[in-house]
Amino acid sequence: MAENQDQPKLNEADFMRLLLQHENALRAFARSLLPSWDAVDDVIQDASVIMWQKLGQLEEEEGFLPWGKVIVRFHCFRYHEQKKKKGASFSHELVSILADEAEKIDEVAHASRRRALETCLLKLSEPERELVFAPYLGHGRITELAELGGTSANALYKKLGRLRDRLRNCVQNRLAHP
Amino acid sequence: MNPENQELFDLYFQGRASDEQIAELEQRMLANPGLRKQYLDEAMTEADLRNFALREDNVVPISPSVGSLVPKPNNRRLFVAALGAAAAVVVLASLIGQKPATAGKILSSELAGWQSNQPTIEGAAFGPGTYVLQTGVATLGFHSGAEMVLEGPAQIEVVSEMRVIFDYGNASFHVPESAVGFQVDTRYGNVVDHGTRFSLSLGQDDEGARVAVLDGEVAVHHSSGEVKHLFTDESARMDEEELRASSDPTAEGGLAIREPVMILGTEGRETSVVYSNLRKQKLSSDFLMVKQVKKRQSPHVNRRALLAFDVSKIDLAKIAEARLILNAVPTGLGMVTDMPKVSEFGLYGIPDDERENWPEEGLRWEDAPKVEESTRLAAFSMQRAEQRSVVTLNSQELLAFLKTDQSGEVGFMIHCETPGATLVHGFASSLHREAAGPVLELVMNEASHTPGDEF
Repeated sequence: MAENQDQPKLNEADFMRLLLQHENALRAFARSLLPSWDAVDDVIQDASVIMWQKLGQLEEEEGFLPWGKVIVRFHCFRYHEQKKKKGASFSHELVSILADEAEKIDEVAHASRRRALETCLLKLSEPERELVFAPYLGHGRITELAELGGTSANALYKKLGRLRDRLRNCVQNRLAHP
Repeated sequence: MNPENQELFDLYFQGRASDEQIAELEQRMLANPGLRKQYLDEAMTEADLRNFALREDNVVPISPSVGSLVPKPNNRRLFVAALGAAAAVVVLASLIGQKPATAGKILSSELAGWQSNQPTIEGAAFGPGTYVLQTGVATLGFHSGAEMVLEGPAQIEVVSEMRVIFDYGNASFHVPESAVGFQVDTRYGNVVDHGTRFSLSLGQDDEGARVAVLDGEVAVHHSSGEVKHLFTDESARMDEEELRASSDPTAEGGLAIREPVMILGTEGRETSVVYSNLRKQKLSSDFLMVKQVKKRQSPHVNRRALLAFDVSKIDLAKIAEARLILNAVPTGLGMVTDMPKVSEFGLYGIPDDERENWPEEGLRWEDAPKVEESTRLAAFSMQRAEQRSVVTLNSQELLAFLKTDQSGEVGFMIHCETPGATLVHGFASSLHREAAGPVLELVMNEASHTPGDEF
């Protein structure tokens, strides 16, 4: 592409911008291969440092996401090797298949889903949204909410399941009839 | 979907699945590609929800300037910290043990057109950083309890929940007891509040600043060192030279002397069209989308945006000046890098006849108003490196087009005139969550709208 031939090599600011732009996609990719958000956070941290160090390998900006996924994938496998003694997680075979399939995810479609999800979240009440967000805000958050509301964590998880069903349906509807 | 599969997904992603359940899920996924696709969708939703959750919980740090935060590559710790701030990599922020500071929340946003790296929707938390309010009115509530109602155009720098640097604009402040000591810095001096309501008006040029106290007390510290205390109904003017007290509370400056402006929104009268007519896949109600591919490429992804304003209640003859304001926002579709560095756009006036009657939903490319049948009213350019910007169009052609309207509605089309490749240009629609939709600002010669109507 003629446009790119006279472009300067990617610099720090480009890197930060690209990481910011693709961070969510990289996190989703890592989450599909790893058993917890803690693991994702560790892997993304290590992978971003490597991406930064190896930025010289990247010729063009459009290669950033596929290239980033390769690095994240490598770190996910390393995580599995190091942690395999601790608790159950998916086998190497399944993780490899998932990685291959997740590398092909259409990010434009993902962006539409995200926008649909964001709109659907607005249809929930404030306490409902709080419950949907609770699992991401600390391990004990659901239990805390249950104590505050005088109910059991189990009951809240059931309620959460129903809310997530509603969100899923809403997203599907919006994608089908934008 | 089989609810058992969904239940297993939920347990797995919530970290509550037993070893047996994980093994069961694995077996099912190995055997079923469709289930793996659902799993990957679920992982995407998890990532998006977590992102929204952390944003809502104010954990996500937002950078005032990405470039300035990039450290030298040999300092890994700093690098990690900068990532935490710049890339919203939440864990990195938590690793260095700091929850990023926020200064307050945006309490309301009335037709507000912001220019900022920070989230500017109603309810969004704001942190230290520079904010430019191009149009409209916004209310910022600081954690200290202080409230600032800001009228655009204005530029401020939030330092903390107790301090703001005011570059220009009009604002009124309400500072309750909890925020006594709240300080507003200007280029001429500082205003320290002692529990009050006061207003501040400061132009972009060197015409001075005016402080007026509506209730309570403020101390004005001029850069010369002079200090004056102002009480209820007192006001003062300061410039580089001096600080003068004045007891005329009616001479409040900015707000009173401002030209009478009417601000019109599209009220949802807006849409985009795409050549392929695959509206569902290619268009989003969040954006007015514009794109033109190079001639040798298939035009099926070309897009144009249409928008209209109701001017039926306005005395068009009395319009002295017209400004059409668009907020350019990234659509997230396509690559910035395969565009020329600068793209040109044209604003076209749609003929004042049945061609104005396009529907907002389901409009097909071939039924939409055509560029070649419309009048070119203004042109503007945008740099590919700046996907967020405010576009203000105020040509004489635009003014003339408005004044000759007969139908009570003025319709416009935005057309990209620089052929590119994949990038889809976007302007916020009235449904966009962060940026304000298109606004038509009309400066009137005198108060002239139909009696009984309120703007």
